[in-house]
Amino acid sequence: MATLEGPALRTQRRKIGMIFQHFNLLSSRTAYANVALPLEFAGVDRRAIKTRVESLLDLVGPSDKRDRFPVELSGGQKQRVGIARALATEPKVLLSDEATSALDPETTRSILALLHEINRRLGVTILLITHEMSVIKETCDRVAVMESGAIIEEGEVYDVITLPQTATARSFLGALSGGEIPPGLAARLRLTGDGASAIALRLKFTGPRATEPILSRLTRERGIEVAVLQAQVDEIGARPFGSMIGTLANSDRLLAVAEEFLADHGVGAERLGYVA
Amino acid sequence: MSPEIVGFIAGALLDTLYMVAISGLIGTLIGMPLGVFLATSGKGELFEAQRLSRTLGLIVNATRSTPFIILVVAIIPFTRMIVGTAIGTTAAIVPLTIAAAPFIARIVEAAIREVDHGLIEASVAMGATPIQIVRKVLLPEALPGVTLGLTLTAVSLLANSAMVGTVGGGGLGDLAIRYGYQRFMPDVMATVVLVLILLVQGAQTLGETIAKRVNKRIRRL
Repeated sequence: MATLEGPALRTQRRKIGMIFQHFNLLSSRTAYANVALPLEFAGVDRRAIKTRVESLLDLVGPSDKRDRFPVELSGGQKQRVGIARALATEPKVLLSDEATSALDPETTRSILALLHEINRRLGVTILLITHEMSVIKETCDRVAVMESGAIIEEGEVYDVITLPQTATARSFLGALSGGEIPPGLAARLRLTGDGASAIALRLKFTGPRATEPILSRLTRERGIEVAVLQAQVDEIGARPFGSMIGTLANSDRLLAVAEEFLADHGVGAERLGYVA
Repeated sequence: MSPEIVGFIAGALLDTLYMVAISGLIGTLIGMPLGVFLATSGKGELFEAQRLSRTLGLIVNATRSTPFIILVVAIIPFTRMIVGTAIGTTAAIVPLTIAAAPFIARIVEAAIREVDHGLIEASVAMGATPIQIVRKVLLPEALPGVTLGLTLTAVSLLANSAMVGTVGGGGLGDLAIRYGYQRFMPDVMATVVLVLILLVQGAQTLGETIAKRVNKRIRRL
């Protein structure tokens, strides 16, 4: 693809639809004529353009706005026209370049729902470029984290959010999965256990057992009590996950028992330090 | 004023309109593509050709910086080559056109540079050819600016046409000098000035009306 030039490159480009943060609609054309533009570029005849554009406007929603100019449309309507335009040449891939970054949360949700529907009904792969992490969590199947032009981490959204491997992924997606150390606790964390009263752990509950009452079993079966300082339970694509920061009494023996029990039950435990 | 003078004024008005219309038309035919090229031939742009772009830019600047009255005289040999004579209304069209074309080119260039770059990016992504981008995106989007620019050109052509009397170009300006000034006929002078004012007003109003109509960026209630 990167080696293509001229007409060959243009033919390939028609197989990729693109939508933009600032919509990039022609102010001199109506919604209808904007959607027709890529078909005019491709040399499609007028009658075929008419059928195609009308069915696209029906698909994305604002078909009663077909004769409106962009200035008369809201941000969400403009992006819907942009999506219809991107789909006009029946692309296999839809590139969304920060397409919801200029929209309010409610409009963002409706645009994402539309993209989801397009993905399922038309079988179009959607590549979503965004810095809004909640967008990824709500709509995507797979995610790749990029830094300085290179992909540094890639995988299923669930895996990357719950178990990020790189620092960048952690700082971007960490807030979604919880597990951030509360500032009051961070100030009291020590590296050595001398004179400390408790040990702080970060626990990760993932997979099918994420919703099991593992902590209360730890208390009942092993007699170890855990104080919860921060906790979050959520779902990504109907798969539950949880994260928690808690402390237990400062004892190497209890810690070893607890760690073994948690590992047996599929809970990730990470020592954060000792609490004075 | 005698009917004879009124006839002179009417004839001069027609001469002026003839010169402005023809030189404006040919000037647009030359200036429009030139302006499009100047706006799209820079580094990394659609028709990248930096050296040609700079050369044409220099020629445009040189023409624009020559005072019109000097241009008229300086290109007399060229005028003679094209129309066979350097004297008369038709001959005057040559320097008027040569002054108008670079003016229009710069106006078209500025209007096209005003077009949101994102539209070019989007068109390229849609698989448009550079020519398609000019025809279907840049020119329609720049139309309001181009229309106002052409209005400006018409008014400046009207002003320039008053100077071509020096080469027997005829028209309203020539009449005002020969009758109004040299023959001490203030009523002729006043009438010509009035007609010129009305012409400029008319051109401006017409241009603004059209520009407003083609401008879809402003929301109308």
